[in-house]
Amino acid sequence: MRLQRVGTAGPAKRRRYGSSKGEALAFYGFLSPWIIGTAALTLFPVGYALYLSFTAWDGVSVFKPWVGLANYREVLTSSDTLSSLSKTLLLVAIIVPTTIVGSLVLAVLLNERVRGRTFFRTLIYIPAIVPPVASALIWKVVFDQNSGAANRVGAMFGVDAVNWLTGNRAFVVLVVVLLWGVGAGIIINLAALQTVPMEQLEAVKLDGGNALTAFRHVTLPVISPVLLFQTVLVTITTLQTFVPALLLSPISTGGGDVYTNIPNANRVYMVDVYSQFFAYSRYGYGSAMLTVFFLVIVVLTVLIFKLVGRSVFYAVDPTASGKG
Amino acid sequence: MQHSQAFSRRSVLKSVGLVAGAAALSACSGTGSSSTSAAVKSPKKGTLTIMSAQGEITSAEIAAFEKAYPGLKIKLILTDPTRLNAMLAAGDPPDLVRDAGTDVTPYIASRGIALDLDEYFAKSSVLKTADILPINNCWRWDGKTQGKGARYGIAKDWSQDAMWWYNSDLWSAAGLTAPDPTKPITYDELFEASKKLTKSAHGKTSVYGLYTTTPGMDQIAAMVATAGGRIMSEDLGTADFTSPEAIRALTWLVDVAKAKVGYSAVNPSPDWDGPEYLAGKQATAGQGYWFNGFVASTAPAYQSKTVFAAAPMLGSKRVSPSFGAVGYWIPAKSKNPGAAFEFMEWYCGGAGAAKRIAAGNGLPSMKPMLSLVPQKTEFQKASFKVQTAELPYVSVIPVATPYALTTALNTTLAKDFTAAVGGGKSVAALADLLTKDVNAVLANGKKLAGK
Repeated sequence: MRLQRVGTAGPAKRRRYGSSKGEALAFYGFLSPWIIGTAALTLFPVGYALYLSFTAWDGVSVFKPWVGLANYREVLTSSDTLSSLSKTLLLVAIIVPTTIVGSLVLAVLLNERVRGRTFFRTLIYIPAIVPPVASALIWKVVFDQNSGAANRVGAMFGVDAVNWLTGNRAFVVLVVVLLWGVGAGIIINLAALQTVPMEQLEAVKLDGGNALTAFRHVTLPVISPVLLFQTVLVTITTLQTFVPALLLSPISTGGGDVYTNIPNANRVYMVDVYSQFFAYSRYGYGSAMLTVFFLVIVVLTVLIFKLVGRSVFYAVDPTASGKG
Repeated sequence: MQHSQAFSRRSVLKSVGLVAGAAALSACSGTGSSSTSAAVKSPKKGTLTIMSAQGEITSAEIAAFEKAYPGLKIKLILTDPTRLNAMLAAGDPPDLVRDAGTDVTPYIASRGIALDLDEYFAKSSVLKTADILPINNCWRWDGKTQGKGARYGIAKDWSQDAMWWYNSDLWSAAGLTAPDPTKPITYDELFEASKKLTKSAHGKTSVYGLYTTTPGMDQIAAMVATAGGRIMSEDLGTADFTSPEAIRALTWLVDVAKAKVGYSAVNPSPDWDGPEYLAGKQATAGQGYWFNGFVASTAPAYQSKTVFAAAPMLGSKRVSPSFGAVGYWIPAKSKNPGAAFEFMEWYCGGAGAAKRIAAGNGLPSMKPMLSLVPQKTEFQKASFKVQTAELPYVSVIPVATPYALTTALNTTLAKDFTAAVGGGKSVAALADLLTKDVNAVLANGKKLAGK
């Protein structure tokens, strides 16, 4: 009792207390910018948008009439909204597999010891670092009806010029623009390919396996977590496609607003949301659309993990505790 | 000489007097309470934030204003509806906003966003109400009718925007007889001429015969008005595109879009009419009088072959509307409305306006400034003659509503129009679709207004 009170325990306890208080202060001090930032710039706007989704606010009026679930009912039944959602899902269905497979194939090719490998790696990665605005504008010029390269190529084969930026063709151009950024995936895959153990690849060779066998049974399992990460990332970014669709539309049609010039084929979900907010001044409905979209993204992400996650190979069991 | 006698300041004033009644908007009841006039606030020194279009207020004009009003600094921000909404929602709007009076007045007034300027105008020695031309009635709203009640803004300058310009060289080259510019041709005649003026080969068009057509509320309503019809209901709460007049207008718009004789919603222009016309890619430009100054300052060589013409007609009623009366309004929560009004005075009725009007960049808002409309060159004289002959037919067609911004209606029209033209829908089916969808937008706005 005496030892505990006067000797070791007391001062030791005080030291621990003093130390942990300082650590706590440092901890919260370093963390506070992030906490304040998240609260002010994420949690509050999200909460406020959620509140708005139950109103019919027009963005400028003092009143925010409460409409309950009416906006949500409309989101789930509006033919325009469902149409924009289906276009977005079609975009995902095209872009995600093409990007994942395409970037993997190109990464494998660029991983080979060929002459000028660095040059080709740089060349393929350049489009990924071009700002999306510049990229969309470049493609807009390429697909211009009167002076674009696409129609010039067509003319070489006797094909009459077509207007690529209107009607359903505009969707094709949007797909091309989105696929143009495949370079980022190539770099990630290249990095992942460096982690494939050479001895395992050699073991396959010694066992009589060919390159395809090695790729299927060694390379693919090793890089599968990276592929899963990319699948989730590309799915989410494709779902949120907005800027390219906006920039590919003509800037002006006799002074019209930008919303009026976006071809119907490119009225994907985020374009629809944007129109609801800023063309129709329907802040409540737009917020409900965003809430529903958030849930769609969550569901799709969970589905990807459920469907693909089982096939992913982890060298270290991610579910295992970090403690000894 | 004959020109200057026939189209003197007096003759213009006489024309303007004649059109005073016509310019007053036809009664069109709506909703929203009439506000009480805001008490005049003294201008404060400091920064005046103005939301305006790119390049419109020049740095020279800013310098001239700041010299005339020491203590005031202008901060320009570009027109951006998204930013404006955010600023309004945050209670920190610009001090002045550029907008089209014909399109926005019922909306901004009925929502209490804009400041009622009656008291300011009553005390102004520059913008004297007795001198304000009737076109500015589109900036008035009494809670039910655009054209009556308090003033919420004023045009910086204005034009009759269904009028058009043509390149007489291209017209002659196509073997066409140039139309008498003071006599309106029909839309069908314009379409036929456009077919001959358009030059296409292998899917590429080097010259479009017709100016850009858009399925916008302004354009459709203007066409329908020349046939004696209207799109918006008296109470501005519903729209009808199924009337015989509207069907005729839609048929024309669909036909020209399909014929590809000009840029349209299904074949959008990379720019507005001006650059395309001056690049020789369009034989016509659908612009009002202000284009006179644009041509003179941008491409003087084009003056000798550019002819201003009367607004075309669909039916037999001559109507030549203004689609804009673009000017400024002061948000109710402006931090410095007194100074904002001083800018309004300077830019719309004072020294700032005088220079612009003298350059032919639109017609003035104030009667005394009509004498400044230029008549020095042959081009200016010819344009002035056509403009003077057109004045008696000026009007503002009711398309603005307190229930939705015109942008919302135009977005709906463009979406349905492109779907219909691309999908081969009949004009009758398109008219039904437009009526349904535009009314849905209006109904939503009415619900919000508690109607």
